[in-house]
Amino acid sequence: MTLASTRKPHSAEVTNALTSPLFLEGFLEFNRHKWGVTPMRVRFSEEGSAVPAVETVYYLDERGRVTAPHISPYMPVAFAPTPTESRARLDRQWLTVGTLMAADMHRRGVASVVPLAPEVSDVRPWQWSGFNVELRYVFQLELPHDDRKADSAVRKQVAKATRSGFRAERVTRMDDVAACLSATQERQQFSLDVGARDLDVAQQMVGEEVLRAYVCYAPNGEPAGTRVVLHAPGTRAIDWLAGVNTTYLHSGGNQLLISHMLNDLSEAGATAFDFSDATHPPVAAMKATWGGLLVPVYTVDGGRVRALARHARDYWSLRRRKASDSTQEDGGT
Amino acid sequence: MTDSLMANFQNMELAVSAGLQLFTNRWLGVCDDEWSVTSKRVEFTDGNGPRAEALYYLDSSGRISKPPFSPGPYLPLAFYPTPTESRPRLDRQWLAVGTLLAEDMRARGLAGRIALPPEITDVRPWLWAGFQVEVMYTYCVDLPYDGSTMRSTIRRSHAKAMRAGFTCARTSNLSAVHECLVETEQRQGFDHGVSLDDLKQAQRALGSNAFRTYACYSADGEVVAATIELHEAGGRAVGWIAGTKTAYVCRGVSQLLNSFVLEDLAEAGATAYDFAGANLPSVAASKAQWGGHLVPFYGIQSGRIVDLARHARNYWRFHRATT
Repeated sequence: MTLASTRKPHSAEVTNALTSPLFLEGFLEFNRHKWGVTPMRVRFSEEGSAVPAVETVYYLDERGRVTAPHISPYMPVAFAPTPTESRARLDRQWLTVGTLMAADMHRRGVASVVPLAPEVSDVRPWQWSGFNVELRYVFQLELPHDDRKADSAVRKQVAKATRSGFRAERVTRMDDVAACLSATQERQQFSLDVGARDLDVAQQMVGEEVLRAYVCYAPNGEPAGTRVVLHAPGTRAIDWLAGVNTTYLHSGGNQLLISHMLNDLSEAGATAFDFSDATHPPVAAMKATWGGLLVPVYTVDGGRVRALARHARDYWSLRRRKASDSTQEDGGT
Repeated sequence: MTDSLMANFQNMELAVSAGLQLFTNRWLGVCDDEWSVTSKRVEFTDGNGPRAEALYYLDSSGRISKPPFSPGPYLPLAFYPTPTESRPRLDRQWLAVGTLLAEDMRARGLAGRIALPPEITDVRPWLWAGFQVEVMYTYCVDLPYDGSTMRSTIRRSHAKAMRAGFTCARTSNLSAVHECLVETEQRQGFDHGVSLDDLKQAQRALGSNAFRTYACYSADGEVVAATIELHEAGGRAVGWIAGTKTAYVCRGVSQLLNSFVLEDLAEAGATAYDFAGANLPSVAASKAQWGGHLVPFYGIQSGRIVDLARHARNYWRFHRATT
């Protein structure tokens, strides 16, 4: 299956099949435990029909509204059509069940910005239900990963780190993972609110084969970088958490770590790797060097004062930048 | 089919896109002389490497606009990368020149929403420049059209219209075309904003090969439905506007005309056809029956108080409905 085809909601072969590690019970339970949300599996189909259907997992807040738990990658969505090759029929089926889901979310209310899984390339059900839809991007890599698709700089960095004595491995020592995550949070001024104990709990709930933690160690044994991935065989693995020790930012250790991780995930049966955010410029530039496919991800929100406030902020920000440009042009002529 | 069409949309390896070649110097001259709109070709380069080219229509305040008479739904825009198969390099090249284009658009300002062509799948330059980006959709089919992908309802309508003696042909009778457009406007309560004179000017400037007008005739020779398509050989043809006389709405004439158009465009060398828009439920349902691929494109808008007001309205509507 190519990445292009996985983007189409219509092509998902989901009847009784796992399409994403985000559907796994352990991950739902971890989110309940850590963030106090109530996970709820839902399936929508027309009355009296098993298919077409769409399945998802809601996380409900204390008021019963749909929300996205902190650091949860996406709302997983699986579409089960009737057996047909007709695009026209698939289109109609998706709009029918997608509209049922969007209407249900509208009825419950949405308490945060909810990123829909990248499989949802057709967000018209949410647009037509009055949601505010916005756009982000992720990079996706096909597995096994073809090194030739990456920039030559990546290969050089991997070689450099290997020569210098860095080594990458899968670990269960969450203290090493947490140390690298902390370094990135301090450097970039944000908070994941996830510590070593949380990761231990998550791995116990989800399982070591699903929640896979990787660490790259410097020659002196110090953890230089980490990635934590959610994986289920036969599906696209998802980059969940990542961090790099500031000392080793330019050592090539991070590239060695990613290379090792991609090989391991491929051997474990992952069909692709979701490299997560490609919207934030510096992060996107680093990830682009691996030669992934840029894929849009749509977020939905509505009924929130914050969404309106964000539009007002964007409006004023753009006006201010335009005014600033005009001033500079006036000054230069 | 999908492979050729979708590769272009997803990998942005299309050297020339969105019909930029249609808009010749003659066309630009007509814009300036007849419509008093300043048309401007702009080009952004990153050294001697990649290049982005676009055609702006500027309003009296110098903002980029989409006048009703300008054919096609999209901002004419092309990206010319250097010859490379490397995705990281293409990504960097696009971001380099796309960012220059987006910054230029920000400096000029937009008068309303501008739709970028579907080939532009990466709109991060506009997101980073602070524009509001909205995803929109269209249906596209490869040409020659594979009739087996259409729904049986289309096939039945098509057969019904043929049995009733309707026929289709290319036409140069723009008055008859315009009459059909007007009847659709009146029936559906909207205005294309395109006069008969506009059609004549556009056809004169672009030529009847690129600006193609089609008509469906009743058995007694009356033009009962018409459509205008933008075409360039080797490229993706784009539907622009269409109309059907009210008395013939349920006679299968628009389906018959669409079939004829797809066949004629394929013969003229178009490689694909863009149905131009699938964003209203009723329109989407009708176009989906042709079995095309749903393809996203992006609308950008910015810095206008009316946009902010629209968001505020959407907020209140949504909020009222959920409480």
